[in-house]
Amino acid sequence: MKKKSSLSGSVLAWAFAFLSIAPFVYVLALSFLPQSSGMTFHFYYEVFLGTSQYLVRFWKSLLICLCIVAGQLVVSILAGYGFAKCEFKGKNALLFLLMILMVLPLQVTLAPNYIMLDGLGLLDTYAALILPSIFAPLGAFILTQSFKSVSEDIVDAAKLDGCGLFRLLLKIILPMNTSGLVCVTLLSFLDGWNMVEQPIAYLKDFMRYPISVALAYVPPADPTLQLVCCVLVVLPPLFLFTYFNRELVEGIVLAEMK
Amino acid sequence: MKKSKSALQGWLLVSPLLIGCLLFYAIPFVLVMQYSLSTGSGSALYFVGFINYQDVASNGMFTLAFGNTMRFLAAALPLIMVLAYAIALLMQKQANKHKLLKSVFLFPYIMPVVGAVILVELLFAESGVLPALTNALGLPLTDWLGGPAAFGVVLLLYLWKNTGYSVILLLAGLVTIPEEQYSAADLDGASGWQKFYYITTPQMWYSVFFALIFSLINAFKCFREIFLIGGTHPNENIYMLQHFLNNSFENLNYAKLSVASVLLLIVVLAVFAVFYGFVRKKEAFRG
Amino acid sequence: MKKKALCIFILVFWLVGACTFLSLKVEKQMVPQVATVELNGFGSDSLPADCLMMGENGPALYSLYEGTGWEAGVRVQEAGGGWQLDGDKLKLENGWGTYVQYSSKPLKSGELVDEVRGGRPEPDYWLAALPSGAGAPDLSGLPDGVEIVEQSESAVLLSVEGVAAPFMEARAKSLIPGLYQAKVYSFAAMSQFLDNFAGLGTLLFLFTAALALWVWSCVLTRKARQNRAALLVNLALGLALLACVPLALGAVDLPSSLLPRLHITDFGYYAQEMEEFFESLASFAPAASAQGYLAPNLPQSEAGQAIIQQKNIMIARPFLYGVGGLAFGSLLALGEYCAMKVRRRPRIK
Repeated sequence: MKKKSSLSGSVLAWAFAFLSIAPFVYVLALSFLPQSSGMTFHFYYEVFLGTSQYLVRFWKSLLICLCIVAGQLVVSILAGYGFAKCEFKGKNALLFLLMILMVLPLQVTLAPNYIMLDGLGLLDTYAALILPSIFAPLGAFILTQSFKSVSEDIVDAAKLDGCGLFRLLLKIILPMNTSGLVCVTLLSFLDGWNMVEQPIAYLKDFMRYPISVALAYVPPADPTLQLVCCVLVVLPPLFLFTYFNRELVEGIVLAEMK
Repeated sequence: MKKSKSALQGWLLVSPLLIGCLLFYAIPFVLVMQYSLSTGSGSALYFVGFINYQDVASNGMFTLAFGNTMRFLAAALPLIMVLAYAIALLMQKQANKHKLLKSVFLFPYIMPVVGAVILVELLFAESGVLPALTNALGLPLTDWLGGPAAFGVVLLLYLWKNTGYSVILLLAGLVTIPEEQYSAADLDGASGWQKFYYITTPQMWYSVFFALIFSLINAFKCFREIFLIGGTHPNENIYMLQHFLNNSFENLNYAKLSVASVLLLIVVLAVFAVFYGFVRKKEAFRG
Repeated sequence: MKKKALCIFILVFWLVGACTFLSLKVEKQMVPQVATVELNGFGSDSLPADCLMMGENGPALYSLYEGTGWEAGVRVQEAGGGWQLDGDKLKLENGWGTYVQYSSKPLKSGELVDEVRGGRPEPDYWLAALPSGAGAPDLSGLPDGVEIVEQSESAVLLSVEGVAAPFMEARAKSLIPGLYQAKVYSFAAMSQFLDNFAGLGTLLFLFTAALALWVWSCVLTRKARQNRAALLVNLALGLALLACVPLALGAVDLPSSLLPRLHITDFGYYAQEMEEFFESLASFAPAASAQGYLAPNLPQSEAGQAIIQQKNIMIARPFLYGVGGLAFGSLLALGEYCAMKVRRRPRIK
């Protein structure tokens, strides 16, 4: 009886795993096979050597995403620690408000953001893409939950040892919360890498779009070329995902309020 | 003394986030509310009360978009929770066996938007794989992306992309339930369902809540793929609230945009508050 | 898992970075230079016949247009309207715009081009490889400044006093109609091509050195903690090598007339061209019996000899530099290994 359920469990698990990877393999395979002829490297040549537009745009998008991730991390770590370890009036109300802001779809704030960015003179620059994303509440929310799990005793002991705030953060809290930090990094990177609405709304010239939007919004002539570009675009998230695999799988830490 | 220092420190730490949020989320939203209660634009703005709300509520496109969005959420959220829960329970039982599979679950989540769009077009568009297949089998379904099947396609895409993430979230909660409770229940002769209802569920409320939040966020983000596949005016079955908002933005119709946003916020706020209160009550009761 | 992922992806991203620099260069190099003729309604409504060139599917006439979006820039397309060959003029039905008369390399519809006008005349040598079995070309009536230097059954070497800078085969052929069926090479272009072997060799050096360093780093990551210093040094070196790639590319400037139509990496095309060129040159050498047994098989003209000498010097460069890169990387690895061994030697006090 147990063996049977274990077998069916394995079968199901393998089925889900297959469904998860199959599309990627499909895309990779198709990128070598244009519709008319057999297997060819022509489109890989086209994207990687023939013209520089794809690769240059790739590195620009990567730079934007790195800025977003760095900014998000700094802001979220500070805010997370503030919410988790400090007591001040209105904390819970603020947290609730942040949660609501987090859930709202982007379109709600897109139009007023446009007006605000126009007023700040940041429209049609990459800062318009980077700044709102840095202050997304998602990171702070995750890190708040994560930091709450650090027991008070450790914090108090460190403070007794004369630990300043930043040393406390760097040496004690951050190493204990790698899962949460990895989660924030990955989520904010993916959000930045897959940005669609903001470039369309804030940037005037479509040639300045980051690569993921440019490819999808104005597809290049050949579908196989799009597939090759897809392979290119999946590289950075794939790297982050495989590098931080252990932290991710061992539990996206949302501390139980036990 | 210590408390006020801690409070000050707290405020300082939270300030960067607050200032940013204020600038890019809160103030814009206040502007939105102002627009929703006025007409005209720029300096010619003047207060008109709730006329805009009446206009929008009777607008056909809005009701269609609102209905579609609610329908999507009502279908997607329970489905993903059930699916993710089932997979998570499966993996809990055989905790150490599926290490490789555990890492592979998140793969769909990292698929870039471009890839998802290409995949959908390859598989479901008129010249795609699936219509050819259904044609060969003699089934009448040919217009996957243009007709009512489009809703199913979008739902499938959402489930494929986001189940893995919910599985991980739920698994994180399941893993913390001590094994002894299950063994004790087995000794008492409890059935699978009873174990689930009495042991698993009460301890999982927080994980379920978080999984639900993230699924909701991801459901709203699903708009990206729909937009890139279907354009600004897709098939009527997948015309979401965000399409309505986007089109109003394009037409510079800030009044409609603002009203729709406020209504959306109210709904989200209501649902949220209810579930949050529910979860806190359950946790408080247990804790 | 982490180490494996890091190893593989560092190589991947290094290659993507190198490809970025390469693609910037390749993009510019593959742009053909074209000489154009404009039809604007005033003056004649027909084009010179040599505007007709061999396109991808048979004879074609190319016109210039401005692309948009992903295909921005001045590009060529096959002119759609009908044309009629009328003696030595090409009559067009709806002729308007700028048409390509000569191009430095075969054109592909939709590709970027670079319009050139004029150019300072420079002396050059033209080598025409005659197709086999075609008989001797009719080279009477050569224009001023063009002289036959050497001639054999399968090739003709001409010296030209002044011709505008980018070599365009069609332009050469229209100057000397007798060469119509031959393949014409320019000594200046070939010499430029050979000169670039050093630069290409340097590129190969950088790549192989980086590869060697990468392999060594992968070995080191087995005991990553211990070998931290060495790994960081390797990383810095790898980045330095990447930074040298654009510098090396700056020295590379390939002649457009010798480039393949589609892919710059079509090495078979290059091999074929060089073979044809140097075989034609070799055909000028007087018969072995007349010269003497040990005399080298060289053409009599100075220019011919010079270029063969250049080829002999340059041809092995890329290979040598590539091997040098491997050696360099290996030496670095060895040096680091020794340094680590020395540092960990137990000290006897």
